[in-house]
Formats: sequence, structure tokens, C-alpha cells
Amino acid sequence: MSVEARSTEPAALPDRRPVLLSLNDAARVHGEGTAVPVRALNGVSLEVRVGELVAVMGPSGSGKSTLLHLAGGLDTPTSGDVVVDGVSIAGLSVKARAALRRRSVGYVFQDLNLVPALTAAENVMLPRELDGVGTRQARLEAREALREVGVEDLFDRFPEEMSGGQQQRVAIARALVGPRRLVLADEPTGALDSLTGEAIMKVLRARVDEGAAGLLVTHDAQHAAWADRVVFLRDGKMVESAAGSRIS
Amino acid sequence: MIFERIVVWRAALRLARRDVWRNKGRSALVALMVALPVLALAAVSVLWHSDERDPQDDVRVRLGVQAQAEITYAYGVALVQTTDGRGYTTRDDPPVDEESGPATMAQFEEAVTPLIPARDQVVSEWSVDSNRNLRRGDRLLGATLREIDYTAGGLGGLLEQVAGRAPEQAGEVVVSRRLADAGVKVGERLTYRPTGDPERSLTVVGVVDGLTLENGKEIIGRPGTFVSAAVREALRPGDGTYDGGYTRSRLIVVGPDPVTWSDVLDLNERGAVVLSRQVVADPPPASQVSYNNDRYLVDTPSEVVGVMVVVIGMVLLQIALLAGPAIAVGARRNQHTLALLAATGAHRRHLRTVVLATNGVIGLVSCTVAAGLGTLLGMVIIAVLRAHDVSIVRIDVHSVDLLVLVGVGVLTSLGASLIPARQAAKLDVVAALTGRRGYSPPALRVPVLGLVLVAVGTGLAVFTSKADLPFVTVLGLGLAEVGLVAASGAIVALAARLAVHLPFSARFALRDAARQRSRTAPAVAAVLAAIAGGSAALVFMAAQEDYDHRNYRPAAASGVIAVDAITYSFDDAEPSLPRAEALLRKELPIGTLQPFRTPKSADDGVDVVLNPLLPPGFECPPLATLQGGVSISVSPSSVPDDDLGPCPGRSEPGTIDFEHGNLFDDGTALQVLTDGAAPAAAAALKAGRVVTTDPEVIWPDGKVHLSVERWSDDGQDDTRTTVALDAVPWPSGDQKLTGLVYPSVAAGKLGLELETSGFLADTTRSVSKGQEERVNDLLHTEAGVQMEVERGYVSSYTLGLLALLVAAAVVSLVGTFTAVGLAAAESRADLSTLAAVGAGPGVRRRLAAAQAGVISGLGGVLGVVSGILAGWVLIRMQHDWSSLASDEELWRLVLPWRYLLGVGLGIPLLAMLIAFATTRSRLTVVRRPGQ
Repeated sequence: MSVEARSTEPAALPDRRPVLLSLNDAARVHGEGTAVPVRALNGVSLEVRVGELVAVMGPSGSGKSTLLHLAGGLDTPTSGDVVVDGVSIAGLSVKARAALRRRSVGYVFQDLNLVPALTAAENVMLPRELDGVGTRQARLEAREALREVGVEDLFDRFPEEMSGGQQQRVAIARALVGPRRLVLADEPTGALDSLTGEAIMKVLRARVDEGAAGLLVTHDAQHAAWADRVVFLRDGKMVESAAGSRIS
Repeated sequence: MIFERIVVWRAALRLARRDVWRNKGRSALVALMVALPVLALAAVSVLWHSDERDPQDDVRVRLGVQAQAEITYAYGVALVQTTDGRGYTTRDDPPVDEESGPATMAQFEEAVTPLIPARDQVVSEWSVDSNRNLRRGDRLLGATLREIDYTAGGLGGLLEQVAGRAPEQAGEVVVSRRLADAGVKVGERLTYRPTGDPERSLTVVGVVDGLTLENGKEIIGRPGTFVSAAVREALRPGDGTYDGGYTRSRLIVVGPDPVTWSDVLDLNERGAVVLSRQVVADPPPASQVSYNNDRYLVDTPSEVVGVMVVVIGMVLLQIALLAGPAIAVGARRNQHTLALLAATGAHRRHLRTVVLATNGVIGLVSCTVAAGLGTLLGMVIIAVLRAHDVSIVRIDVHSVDLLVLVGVGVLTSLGASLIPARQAAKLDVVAALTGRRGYSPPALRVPVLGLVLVAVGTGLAVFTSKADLPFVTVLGLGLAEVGLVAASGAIVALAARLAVHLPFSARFALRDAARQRSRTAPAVAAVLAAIAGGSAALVFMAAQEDYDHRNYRPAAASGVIAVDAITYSFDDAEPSLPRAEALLRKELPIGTLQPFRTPKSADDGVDVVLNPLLPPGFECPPLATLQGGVSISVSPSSVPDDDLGPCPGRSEPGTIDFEHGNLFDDGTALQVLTDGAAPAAAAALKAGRVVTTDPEVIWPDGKVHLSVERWSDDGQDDTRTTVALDAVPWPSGDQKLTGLVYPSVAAGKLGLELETSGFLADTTRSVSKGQEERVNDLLHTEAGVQMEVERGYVSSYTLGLLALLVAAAVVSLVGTFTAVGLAAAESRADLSTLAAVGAGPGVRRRLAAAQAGVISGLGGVLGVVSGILAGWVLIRMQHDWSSLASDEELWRLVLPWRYLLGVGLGIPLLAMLIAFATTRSRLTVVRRPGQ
């Protein structure tokens, strides 16, 4: 295993790849107007382009998860703006944000990612079915998504019949099924052993390289090395941005 | 759009189906609450419909599989009938003289036989119920005796031979299977001895069965087996009596040709009612039918329908509330899944759909299973009933009923999950994904709406309770209850404010109840609704008992026994007062025994009616003004236009209200009746004066003036005379005796003879219920009479009150323990923390008891308060009816405190005790996700 170093210097030429996620001075204050407001995120600006995997690191309470929730429209910024696939979520209704998640954004969490009552295929089909796509079409797309992450053979298995790594692969497949291109991963390897974790990162990297984009929250520098860029958060602010290192 | 919804519902249903299966315990809890009523109602539906007979059933039961028609005598005049013969009436109104019809069965048969199809003939059947003339060995045998030649051609399927052979000659009989099951065997000899006819020895030669037997005990013989030809010839047509038993007769038409509607109309002209196989199978067009039952059916009043709808709605609400906590907890346990769905792009509507689908699936599956099991239960009950003399022709399962029940069950299940679904849809996705538990302060909108409903509903109920608008009143009570249910969450939150002053267990339980309102509120509401309903019924029943008690008038002094040969005599034994007296003296501590005498006309064929006349110029007093400002004025026409009738709203000032007939006495019977409390009245009777409890019938001349009407059977010598007798007033106090007691010496003057018709006896010791039953059995069999013991007012409501108490307790405990059990499962993390900080093993038990106390205590107290209010409203609704008769006492609010305390405090204490006793004390450490 070797580590490919990447330059921390910005590219000399402007990056022409489309921007899938853009945070512009985004802030999130909990309990605004109360005696003790909590600034979970404080004026963060960040862009993630097609084919780019950006890792977010920082200590507990630094705002990593809040950043991820804003990026997927699970939460809304109290100031600034978040633009996903060209759409600003600040003015979107709850319903429209849900639709955005169905069509553009997929989440991968640390564990308990899959609905236990559904098979792998049904889990992957879920966003498509919720979007009104017919079951037959959704099933085809799910099969394709599972094939792309290498677990097509788990098609009819329930989560409890899969290993942790397999479950995370299915979650990645669900995050990128159909037209979705932005995957938001919150410690996706946190509950896995290191070898399995590496394998998951490889899959994630591969899916990004094939035309998606990813925002990865992690504590693990080795996993962050799979990213094109790493941003560091502290107390809700972005304190540093550096190029990642690729394991080849 | 529709396609999209279908796809979403399909996904939701798939998830629901799997989720239900994975969480069997929780699903079973919801299923049980929703499905049990469906099971019970499905069984009731099967029983109800199976017990109903349609015209086809009539044909099967009464005609077997071959006979063409049944002809029965109804009137001696032309009539019109329905196509199935169930309804009929005289054709002419008023009818022509009935006496013009056939006088005997033979004449009737002669009259109708020419009207049946030419190739058909009639088979005559006659039956009588016999309880006193048929003997098996030395014991009486009660059975129906039926004379018919069931082997005649064309009677196939009426009676089937199941053992032995058919009777071939007089003296041979067959018995029904039911009688055979009771022990009567083929080859056995029976004796039949009708009054005035020679004794007959009957030999059982076979056993028969058939729907026409109606599962009864019957003995069947050929014509002439039970009554001689001469007697039979003279029997009146149609139903009647013979030798103390009810008789039925009919003609059965057999042969190749059907009896058409035209034949039926011809037969109707002769006063015959016809059940025709052909007409039932192919009824004539309505234009040819001049009499139709449907025209005479009375529509159910819309008020009654409205009240029923509200009551059913409240029952469904109760069921939904009982299922509510399990559904709420189910939805919360699924929070992570729902949050995952939200992260995947599910909108609130999708989340609602998932929760609704889950409970819809539970409702559908459980109610379908329950409908099937209920149907089976109904069939089993029918089998048991059939084994106990009940005739049920067929098992009738109405699939529409079952579908409606399943539908209502599913709707109830969905209704119960509406609020949990709404709450689930509003979940904090981020908190749910990280496993954090949030606390949302109570929203004001729902409790405010609830309080408004309580106010509006209570107002409606109270203000309309006097206005004879039962639907609006009951609707008001229903709205008030729905309002309380809606406000229950806020009530729990309000109660939690008291927590700071309470010890740890109670404080924790109250705070937990407030934080987990989605689980606690429906449980509190379920207990509240159950206890409110139970308390309202308790209050109403207590008022009813109070009303009955205050209106009870004893027929005699306490402990006095009355034996009466007229009222309590039996067909199967000759009444004998001397035998009864001897038996009574032997079995009971009899003190004084005094015969009483009642009058009969001195002349045969003449009825005598006595009526006291009101004094000249007597004016009925105005009716009392009713409570609530409603008064009834007496219009001149409502006052009787002659002096015989009573004033409106007053007791008839007629002869004494003595259950055993008009009393003529020389003072001795009255002494026993009153236990010596009326010496002056007794002396007056001895002196030949009338005593009356109604002084207003005594004229200024100190006499009662009696109108003596004599009505003769032939209508020739009807007379009306007036007789004046000296009278004295007698206030009978609390006793039922109101009216007049005549002196024995006056009987002759009134054209009456007196006969001893029973006796009164006082006892030296009280007679127990058991003694009374035992002696009554002896009196029945040995003396042909029965006795009655005056015991004063005995409450008949105690069992009902206890049953209500138990029902309220069961529903409340079910509601409480559903929530407590779910709370225990949900509080594991908190208990783990408590264990970690050193809580002892008893803490878990005390917490469970406190949780049970919070739920059942809040529900109990609020339920009793609202139940008293509802009971008071129901009592107010009764006032108008009781007030119409001014001498009856009005309803009043009586609070059955013991029972109400039992409901309001006893049930919560019981719940706490059970919770404490059944909770395991061991504290275990579990993972706290996300914290």
C-alpha cells in the first residue's frame, strides 16, 4: 500500500468541473434568541465539485455533523446559503428539501444505515419509490447501484444477514442510486474494522471518480487521505484546508 | 400524481408488513385491542342472522322438501296476506261477522279443500302442548303431542325416521330425537289421560327428526292417537286450547301441482292464511299484492339512530384510545427508521403514510382473523344452543357484516394511529438519527380546542337535557368526552408541574409521563373515558335505585306470605289450598294464617264491575308545575267527561290495588296484611263499612257510591246500578294497598259471591330466599300453587353496580398496564443510569407503581368528575317522564360514594399494587444510544 501525496497548493488553472455543493458563509445557530445560543457552524464557505471527495475533520462539537446536515437539507442555515446541484436550500420548503434529498443527495451514516425490515434491494429502491418511480424501474436501478458497489449478490438479503461492510456498501449504493450524485458520509467507517473501512473508502472513492461528489466527515486521517481535499473545523469555523493523500 | 401515491403506498405497505412481523409483541398488543371487539361482534352477527328466519326457512321448516303449501285458519272472514303468509289482516274494515266462518276444523277443511289444485290433496295436522296429562311411569312428561300421518305421500323431508319405524296403528307413537336424547326409548310405554277422555296407553315405536320439530320434545302419532275422532271433529279451527294446553292445527297441501298466488287469494276469501312453496320461490308482482308488511313497518326514529351513532362512536374512540399507547410507542421505536427514510428523501406525508400503513396492516390482518374466529365462535355457540332446546334452522354468515366489521376495525386502527402518525411526521430527523430524545413542550392548540369542546359539549348536554332532545344531549356528552381526551396531554403536562413537590418515584413518573405524552396521554384518556362511562352509569343506576326504592310500596307487612290459587296456579297440578296450608305449616314458622276471599259474580255468564263514583262537584286538582319551568295545563277535554275516571296523573280511585283480586274482608285478612297496624280499618270492615285510602271518593253523606255494572256474555242483561255503602278513610301509609277494601257483608248487596282464593300468613321467623325457593318447588308439585313473601324493597341493582365497577376496572387496568409496560420498556436507559448512581432494586418497582398511579389516578379522578356530570345530565333527562304522574316521586341525583371511590381511588390503588407486585426489581445496564 502506498500513499500518493497531493499538492496543498491551489490548482493553477480554474477548475471547470460543475459545483454540486456550495456553502456560502453558512452559519447555524441553535436556540437563537435565547439566553444561551449555540453557534454550531459559523460562516463556513466550501465547494464540492463533480468527481471531488472532500473530507471534513475536527474535534467533537466542531460542527462537522451540522455541516453535513445543512449540506443535505436536513437542517437549514440561520444565515448564509447552501446550494445543492444549483438549488439554494435556504428558501426551500420542507417538502422541497425532502425532494432534493430523493433526487440529488444521499447520506451514509456510521451504522444502522439500512431499514431493517427491507432487503438490500428494497433499501436502495426506497428513494426512487418515494419519488414515484415505478417499482420495476426502481428495482432495475437498485440492481445497477448494487452492482456498482460490488454487492449485487446481496440483492434479496435483509440487513441482519449482511456484515457491517456489506451494509455500508448497500448504503453507498442507495446514496447514489438513480440521478443522485452527491454523497454525504458521516463517519461511514466508524463502526468497521480497519480493513473493511479501507474497502468502503475505496468504493466511495471509486463512485466519486465515476462522476459523483462526496463530503466525508471522519476522525480518521487515514480515511481522510482518500479525499481530494481536507477541511478542518474548530468551534464551527473552518480553520484550514489542505489537499488530501490518495492510497493507491 | 395518483401513480406516485400508489408507488409510495406500496413501499409503505411493504415496510409496514415487514415491520409488523418483526415487532410481533407490539403488533399483537395493538391487534388485540382492535380485534377483540370485531371478534365479539362477528359472533353476534352470526348468532343474530342465524336466529332470523326468512320465508325460505319457513318453507323448509313447515313444508319439508315436498309439500306444496300450508293452510291455517286465521279468521272466519275474508282476509289479505303477504306473499309469505307472515302478515295478514281482515280484508274489510270493520270486518264482517266472524261467526259466519267455519266453526270446526272439519268444516274448515271442507271449505278450503275445493280451492286447492285439483290433483292435490290435504293432510291434516293437529298438535297440543301437554304438561299435565302425559305420564312416563309415575312421572309427568312435558311434551308436544302431534297427530299426523307423516308417511303420507308428498310429505318428504318433514319428519325423517332415524330409529324404529313409523306408527301404524292407534296406540303407537314415535318421539322426537330431543325426547329420545332425554331418555325416552323405543319400546317404552307412556300413558296419556286427557280430561274427560279415556286413558290411552302409547308405545314408542321409533324416533324421528326434522326441522319442523324445532328441536322440541314431541310425541307423534297417527290421527286419533291422542284425541278421539269425535273430539277432534269438534275442535275449533286454528290455534286454541284443549284440556289446558295450547293447540295448533293446519292443513298441508301435497300433490303434484303448486299452489299459486291465485289459489292463495281464493283461500284468503275463506279466512285461510297460506304459505306456498311456489309463491315464496316466485312471488307475484307487487301490483297483485294488496297487503305488504313493509307498509306497516315503523321507521327507526332518527333521534334513536343519532344516539346510536354517538354511542358507537364513543365505543370506537375507547378502543382507539386503548390501542393508542402501543401505537405511539411503536411509532417512536421506529423513529430511527423514519429518520432514515427522511434522510433518504421521505417527506412528512411519506412518514405519516408509513405509520398509518403499519397500523392499517395490523388492523386489516387482526380484524380479518378476528372476523373469522368470531364467525367460528358464533357457530360453536349455535351448536351449544342447539344442544339446549334452541331451534336454529341454519347458520347464516353475512359476509357484508364481516366486511363492515373488518372495515370499521381497520378504520379504528387507522384512527388510533392518526395522532402518532402526525407526531412521527414532525420528528426531529437529526435527533432521531443520533438517538437523542427530545422534549417538545405541549402545543396549546389541541388542549385549547379540547377545553372548548368540553365547554360546548357540557353546555349542550346540560341545556338540552330538559328539552327532550336525546340526540343533542348525548352528542353534547360525546363532544365533552372528546374534548377531555384532546386535553389529556395538557392535563398530564399540567400535573407534571406538581412533580417538584413529590418524592423521587412520583416525581420521575410524572415527569416521564409529561415528556412521553404521546404514550401517556392516550392511556390517561382511555382510563378517563372508561371511568367516566362507568361513573355515569353508576350515578344513573344509583338514581334509578333511589327512584325505585322511594316508589316501592310493599303489598303487605314485611314477612307476610301470600298464597293465591288464581294468580299462581299451574297446568300440571290441580290447585289445592288445604294441601298448600298443610305444607306451609310443616315447612315454615307460620304464625297466623288467614284465608282471603275474592268476589265472583253470583250468576253464571255475568261479569260484575265495581267503580266508585266521584262526589258531585269534585274537581281534579291542577297538576304540579314541573321542574325546569315546563308545566302541563289540564284542558277541559283531558278531564274525563263522566265521573268514573281518575284525574290525570293520579291513581285510579278504583278497587284496592291488591295483587290477588278485589279484597272483601271482615277485618281479619287486613290485620294480617298490615301486621295489626290498622285496627281501626279492621274494625270498620267488621262493622260492614268500606275502608278507602282515597278519602276523596267518600261523598258528603259519608258513603262511597259504587257504580255496579253487570255485563252478560250474551249481551242481553247489561245493567248499571248505584249502591251506596258506609265508608271510612284509611291512610295505608307506605303500603301498596291503595283504593277500597269492601266489607264481606256487602258482597250479597252487590250481587257477588265470595270464594276463598288464597291465604295470607305471617311468620314467627324470617323466611330466607333459599327456603322460599324450596317451599315453592314443593307447593308447585304437591299443591299446584306458589307463594310470595313480602320482603320490603330489595335492591336489584347491586350486581349491576358491581359489574360496572369490574368493567370500568378491567378497561382501566388494560389501558394503564399497556402504557406502564411500554414505559418500562422505554425507560431501560433511565433505569440503567439509576443503577449506575446506586439506586436499589426496589426503585424499579416503585417507579412502575408510580407510573401506574399517575395514569390511572389522573384518569380516575377526571373520569369520576366527568362521569358524575354525565350521570347528572342523564338523570335530568328522566325528569319529564316521571313528572307527568304527579304522585310519583321525581328523580334526583344520588351519588353512590362507595362505588365512585372504588372507581376513582380503588382502581388506581389496585393498578399501583399490581404494578408493584409484578415488576421485576433487577436493574440492568443497557446502552444509551447517542448520549
